[in-house]
Amino acid sequence: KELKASVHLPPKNNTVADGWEPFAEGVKERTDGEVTVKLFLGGSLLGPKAASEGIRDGMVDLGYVIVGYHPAEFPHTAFINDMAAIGTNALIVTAATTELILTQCEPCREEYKQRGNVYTGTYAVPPMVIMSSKMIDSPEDIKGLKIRSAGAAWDNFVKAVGATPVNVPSSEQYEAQSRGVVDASFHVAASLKTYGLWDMTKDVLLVNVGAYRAINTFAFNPDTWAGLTDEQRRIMLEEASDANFGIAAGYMATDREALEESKAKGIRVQEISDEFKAIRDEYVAAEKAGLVEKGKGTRGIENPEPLIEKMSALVDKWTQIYEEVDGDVDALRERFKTDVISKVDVSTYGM
Amino acid sequence: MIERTLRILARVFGWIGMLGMFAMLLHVSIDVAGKWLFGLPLPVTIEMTSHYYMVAVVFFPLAAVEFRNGHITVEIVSQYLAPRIRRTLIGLVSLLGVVYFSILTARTWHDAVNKYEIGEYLYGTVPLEIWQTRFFVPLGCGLLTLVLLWKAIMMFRGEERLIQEGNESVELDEA
Amino acid sequence: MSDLQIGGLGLVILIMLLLARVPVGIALGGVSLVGIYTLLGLKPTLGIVTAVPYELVAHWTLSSVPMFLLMGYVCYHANLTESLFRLARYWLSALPGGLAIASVGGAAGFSAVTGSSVACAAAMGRIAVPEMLKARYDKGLAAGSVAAAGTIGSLIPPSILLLIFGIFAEVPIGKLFVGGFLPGILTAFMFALMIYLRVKATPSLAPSVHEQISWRDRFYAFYDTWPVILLVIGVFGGLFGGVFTPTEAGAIGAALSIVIAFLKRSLNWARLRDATMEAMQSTAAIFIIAIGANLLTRFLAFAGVSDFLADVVLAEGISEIALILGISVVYLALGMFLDPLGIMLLTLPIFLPVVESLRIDLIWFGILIVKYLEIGLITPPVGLNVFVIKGIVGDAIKTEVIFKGILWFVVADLITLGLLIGFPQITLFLPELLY
Ligand code: NA
Ligand code: NA
Repeated sequence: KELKASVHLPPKNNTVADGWEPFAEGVKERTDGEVTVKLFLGGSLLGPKAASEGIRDGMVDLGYVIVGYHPAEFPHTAFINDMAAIGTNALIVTAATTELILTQCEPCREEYKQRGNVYTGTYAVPPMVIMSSKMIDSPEDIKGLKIRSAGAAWDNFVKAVGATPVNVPSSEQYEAQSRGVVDASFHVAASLKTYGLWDMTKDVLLVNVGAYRAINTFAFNPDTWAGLTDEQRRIMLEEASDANFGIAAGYMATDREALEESKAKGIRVQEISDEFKAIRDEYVAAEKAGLVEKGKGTRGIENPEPLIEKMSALVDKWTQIYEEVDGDVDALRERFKTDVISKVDVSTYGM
Repeated sequence: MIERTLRILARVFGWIGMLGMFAMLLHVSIDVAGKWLFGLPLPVTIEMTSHYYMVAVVFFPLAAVEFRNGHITVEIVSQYLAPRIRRTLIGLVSLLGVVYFSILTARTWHDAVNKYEIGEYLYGTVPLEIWQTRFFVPLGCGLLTLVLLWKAIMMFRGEERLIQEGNESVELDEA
Repeated sequence: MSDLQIGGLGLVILIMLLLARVPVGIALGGVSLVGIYTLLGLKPTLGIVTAVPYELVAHWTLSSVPMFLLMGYVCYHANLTESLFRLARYWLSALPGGLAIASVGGAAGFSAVTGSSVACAAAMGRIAVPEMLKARYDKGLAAGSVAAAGTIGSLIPPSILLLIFGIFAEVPIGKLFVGGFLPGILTAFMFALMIYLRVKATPSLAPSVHEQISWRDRFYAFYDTWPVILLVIGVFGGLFGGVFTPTEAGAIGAALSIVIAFLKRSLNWARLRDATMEAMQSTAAIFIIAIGANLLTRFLAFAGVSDFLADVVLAEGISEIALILGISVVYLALGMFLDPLGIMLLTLPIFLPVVESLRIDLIWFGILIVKYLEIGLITPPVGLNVFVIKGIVGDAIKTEVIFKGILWFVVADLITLGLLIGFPQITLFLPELLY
């Protein structure tokens, strides 16, 4: 059986190279070729915002869904993303978020069921840094700069450092910064390389804020999912989880490489000073403090406190495991399978 | 009577579209000026421009465009046809348009109601509701469907009037 | 019938519908929906109809299209552009096809401001075509030269297409932009040369203005152009000075043109209303086609066109030059029907790995790709730039007359393409110099 999969990202993206391609290979191998996944990359079948509904309507069997585009449809997932201040390591947040939704958040699974997308796991993106065309030696230097934030959700941090958040789409990021429409970009370090921001960046400030996590990397159509055998469904969950860890690790590696190459190009890369740390910690504390209200208000969640507690607990749990295995990705993968996936009842999950 | 109503509606929709044009112009310009002069951007410029103004500018004027025969066609064969045959052809083609745009209208209406029920909004510091703009699509396409239907009826009745109205052409007067 | 055959049949039916005077947007969309229905069934088809129109239109970077159109219409209705073409006439009237050549030059200049070919054609079209018609230029030449010249917009930086290619292929955007510069100039030069030779051979295409113009008048003509010069300085200056982005430039340009026209007392409320109404209607007409073109991309993707291309072009052990030529044919063929973005979505995931494995320079390849895509914007039966000009000129010029007038420009483009393939230095000289 050949499954059609839609991914709107280009072939070299980490999500494709470290996630979708290994997933497709893994599925083929472990089902002895009974199930294969055919990738349609670059959005030729479904654009990023049409993916969720396209999967629900059966245009494709599975696909990549940025759940954050649909906060009204997926309020719980949007709320989990609001918790970006909890956890910054992409691998740890990957594990914590996926475990939370797979096994500890009934209303989350309910919203996926309602929207006709089977949830199989999330990967998180590494925290974001400030890539500036001007040198930043002290918090004073950043005041009044125009900073392109990674989305309206991050505007508050840009404001917290005293800069002006400017909304520029990623397609104009390079133009905007090279001409000085913005002085800096607040995004993952990988964009130094992938968007060529190192052409004009002089200073990289490792503020390490947030880790985006509103993603259903391998979202299945419910009928396709139900049409698989129990064994195949378990394979899908396991391969998805392996792939998600792979993507997170891939992003972290790309970030590291981009930073190394930037240093080689003579760009300054600096850990933040205590003054900046204080500003950041204040921001993080304020974000955490506002979470309950945000959950009840904007997201319309009746009882947000337990979700926040569970997320914090899971981040702690996986931080501990991460340290136990010394950050080894394969060890994390195995732990996740035995600790989490084995407890999912594949004869009923997602149906 | 029917045509008068359709024309009035098309004109009103055209005005709404124009409102979108001016809003886009002002919102973006003020945002740029604010950022450059005072370091103060206008909130949700990109979001309002994409979801409100753009959608209004594209979908509301569709019927007015049709009244001016402004939808782009290739006349390579039809210009050589006898008037009666040409009318029949345009009538049939308009019916095809009725089918296409009524499917679009029905589906996007269904979608708009759906988005209204869940209260679609954008993720951000300040959530911006956008479900309202989903209705622009079926409204614009719906009126266009009615105009196309009317045009088909006129063609089959043998009235040329509707296809002779040109879209305001470039003047060809002496330089 | 195989999926691929359904795709091919769809394209044949599309051409027949277009010949039967079905509006382009309806023909594109209708064929695609029936095609997708045949391939996938009802539910997915209805799903795609629901998603595409809104998602395509609700897009920030596309907002420069109505805004640049508005700028052009305001300039036209307020007679701001007459002076510019009087200037061109005074200086270039001795030159065969002077106004058409001036339009190409104008488009090349405008390319440095806008990232989109369609916006470039839209802005120049409203300004230049009426003036050429007044000078009794051949309609095909007048409309064709602007539709073709608009394609320079994606070669000379900034360029949305180069940017997307750069992100796809992970090639430095800055290098790509610099690489597009000389090919863009070359394209403009070839267009101008072609106009010159054609008008020289057939003077009736562009009646030369037999007037004795004193040098005093020639220099005095500069004075009258201050509104346009002010506008150009405002838009260029703002872009290069980092005041606004290319997308924002549309709204700024429109606002500036309105302010200047009011200062010059050549704009009143009624004219502004007409200009806005026309800009909006052109936008709507163009986007209805864009929606259809987007649906066609999805239909061809479902029909498995990508696999077909891979089979045709990517034979084992293929040589570099055979690959490039094969890819050329594929892009020119797809360019007949699809929009640039659609073609990139369908083909780049297939071609990029092969091109890389052969160690072909990706900067050079990217420029070639964009050149192919630009040619697709002006080839029949679906040529977005042609439709933009058609949307602007209304009934004055028929679509097929524009296509006919553009044929010569396609020939010039093919020669340019040959030069770019034969002499990669044209593309790579500047990037190697600067990086
Ligand atoms: Na350009
Ligand atoms: Na074409």
